[in-house]
Amino acid sequence: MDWASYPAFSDRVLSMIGIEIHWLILQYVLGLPLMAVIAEAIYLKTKDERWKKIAKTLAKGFVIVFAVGAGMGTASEFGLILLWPNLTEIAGKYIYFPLYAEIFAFMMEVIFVYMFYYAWDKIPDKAHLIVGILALTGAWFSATMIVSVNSYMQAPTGIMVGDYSMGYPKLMLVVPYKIASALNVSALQSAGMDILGTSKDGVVVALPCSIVKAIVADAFSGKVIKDSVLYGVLNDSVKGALANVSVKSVLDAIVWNTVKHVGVYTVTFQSPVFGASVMHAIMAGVVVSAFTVLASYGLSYWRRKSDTAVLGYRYALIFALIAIVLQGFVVGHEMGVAVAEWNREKFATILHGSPEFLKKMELTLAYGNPNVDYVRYEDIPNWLKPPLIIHDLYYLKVGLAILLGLVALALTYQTFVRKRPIYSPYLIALPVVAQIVSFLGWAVREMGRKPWTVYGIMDVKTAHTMNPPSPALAGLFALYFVVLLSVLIYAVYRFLWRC
Amino acid sequence: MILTFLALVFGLHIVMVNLGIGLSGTVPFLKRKAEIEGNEEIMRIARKSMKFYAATYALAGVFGTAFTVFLLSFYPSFIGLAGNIALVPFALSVCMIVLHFLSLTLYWYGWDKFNSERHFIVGLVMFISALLIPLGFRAIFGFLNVPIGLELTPKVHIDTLKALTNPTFLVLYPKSITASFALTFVILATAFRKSEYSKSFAKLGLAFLILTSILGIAYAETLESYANYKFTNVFGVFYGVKPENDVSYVFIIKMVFLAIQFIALMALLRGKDKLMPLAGFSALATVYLGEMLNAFSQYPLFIANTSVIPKEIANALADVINMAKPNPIATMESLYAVTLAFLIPLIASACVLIYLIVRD
Repeated sequence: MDWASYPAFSDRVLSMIGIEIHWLILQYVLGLPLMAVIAEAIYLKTKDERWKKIAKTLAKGFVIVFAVGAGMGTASEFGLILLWPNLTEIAGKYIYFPLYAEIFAFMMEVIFVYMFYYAWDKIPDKAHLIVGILALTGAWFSATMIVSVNSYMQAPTGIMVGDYSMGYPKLMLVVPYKIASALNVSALQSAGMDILGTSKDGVVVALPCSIVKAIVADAFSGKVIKDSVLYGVLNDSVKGALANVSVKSVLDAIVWNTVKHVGVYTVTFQSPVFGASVMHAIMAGVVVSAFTVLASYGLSYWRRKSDTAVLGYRYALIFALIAIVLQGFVVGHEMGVAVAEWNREKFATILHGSPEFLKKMELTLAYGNPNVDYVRYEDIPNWLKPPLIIHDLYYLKVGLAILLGLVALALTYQTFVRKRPIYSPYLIALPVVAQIVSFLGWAVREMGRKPWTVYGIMDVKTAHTMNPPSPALAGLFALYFVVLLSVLIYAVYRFLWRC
Repeated sequence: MILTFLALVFGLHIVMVNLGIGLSGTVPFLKRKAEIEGNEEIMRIARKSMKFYAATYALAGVFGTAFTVFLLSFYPSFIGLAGNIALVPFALSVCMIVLHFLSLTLYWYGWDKFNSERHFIVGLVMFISALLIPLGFRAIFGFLNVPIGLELTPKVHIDTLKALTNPTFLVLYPKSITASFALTFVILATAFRKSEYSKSFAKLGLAFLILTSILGIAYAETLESYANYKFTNVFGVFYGVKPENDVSYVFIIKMVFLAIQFIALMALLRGKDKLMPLAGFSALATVYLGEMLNAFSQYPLFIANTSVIPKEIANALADVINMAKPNPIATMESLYAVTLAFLIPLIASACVLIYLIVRD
């Protein structure tokens, strides 16, 4: 499948650009506060003024980019509302809590990030360090909430994977008794529905996602039951009475009931890919920040020799090496295992066309067995196939990440073993490559979820606005944001790196 | 409780962005004047005002985001509807928000780094973007008064050009801008009441207060014609008409705060500055109450006048545009407790941040 062939191509590209710019910036708000807080803690311990200077410079870095990051966050938020209003509506309706809680995280970020920068030397040192920890907590708390929603979009709580011929993937739903009594159970069972049991809240069923998707599509196109797929699975005795009931009201009743059964506050955190996803996202921020700081101090020393630059360079180098090792060998591995288990179509597409040795290696890493019987791309029904481009993007990402790790290792060897550190303007390539790796990671994750917007629940077409911008207008918006990003990058260079 | 949370975060957002719009317009001109005249006192005022704005603009933003997310959580179908039909006005505002945040960053961190002319141009971008942010949002507010511009073919959408001719919008937008400057000059007159320029700020504050009051009367007249439900809820009791949801008391309190500002500013012009802290507080309260009055006088309707919408569509949307029908899984007491547990210490921390900035 070609990525462009899924619906709403230009709006998907616009969303990708807008959210990527937001992500590109906010990674520094995830990583730089951590580095600044540790630098300040070392300063408090050693009283070496160079550490204080490093902490202050890092703080200035994230304060400068924070403004535009927050602006782009607002743009992303409104972009989701305007381009994908039906996705936004189900998020607000059924899984609102992490978005709601993210507001408090965002407030923490805003208040303590600025306090960390503006309250230097105005409050006691230890109190200032606590402010830094609160700023970091706000940033990570915020990331956790947002990634939980994204995790739900990748693998919603209650998703069941299995044999496609048996109707999988299926979604666990708790149907209220009142609605269940109106349904023709045998018709649903012949369509692939399994009854898993009963609870005080209703009948627990596993419904094939092909049916879930159709009901959701009917609900968001404003249909009533008589015009919907639901009509065919109603008992004859209630068809007349329910013919003009809106599908959306039935969907609301079932999903609200399911969410209450699972836990209104915890539903997204129970997504099977949540844990790995949140750690992977936060570590990406740390990796990008560490390589950016490494390059900036390398460049700084190359321009103007200073002790602080040497210390900052060494500090960032150690940070970068540890971060990329953790990201690659621990967190990235866990993410891969989760994808192989819960996003089988994505995993199959990544493996599709890979050389045999690479396939065996990936299977060993994912399942612990190179000869495991796994889902192949050819096995996936056409309507579930992700775009093939993610295969190339994935290996490009992994290749660049390995290269980045090797460079970090080589720089460490040069600096700490051979005592000949490399201070060069070419180090500027490091944050660029780190950003590309991070972008590719998200690209594989998001593009690989197609044809779904919320896996197993809502497809791209249903999520999309009824009044999309023309491709030309979408292009203009994208260009506008790219130009503003370029100005920001220049500003950071002008105000931070050159000073 | 839902309405209390919405009122709190929206009110804080509005007060801070009003101050932001005013400062975005005032600071670049103050700085430019200081540079041309070599006036250190004006430069001090400009710099201190800009530092305050640079450190607190994001607070204004976060309360705006909080309002949107609270709306999404409590009224998801309304947000879904808005997203489907209101692309252009929202997109205009969003593009300006990003430009404003960028220009603000460039202006503040480039304070001593750009030459005077270039810095002033960045300041102008900051000012113009600040003026344009509320254009789209106020167009939506006008639409919520009376949905002029709602088109049903080929699909339901808002015709932006028609929406911009909405009489309630045509008055509400300039009123919002003049109110921003009225607030800003009263606050500057309060903050720098010992400065030799306090009287200049007071005069400007008075001028904008008078302008805003005139536009306020004009806005009330447009509401009487186009959103009578709303007008009656505010002014009905004064005319002997029984309102469905009487909010006239909010209007009366707002008028008291307005009067305090006039009195304090007049006193300042006569050399007496004791009342100015009260005037500063009153200015903030006036903006807050004005926004509450505008928003809640149409309760429980998101769209105050639905008579211009075809009946079958209005009926289909009845639940979606009804504030009395929130998301049932977001109306839990435990959620209110969580909200208060976070909001109270965070707002207290925000006050500490503002104190630390203002202290120097």
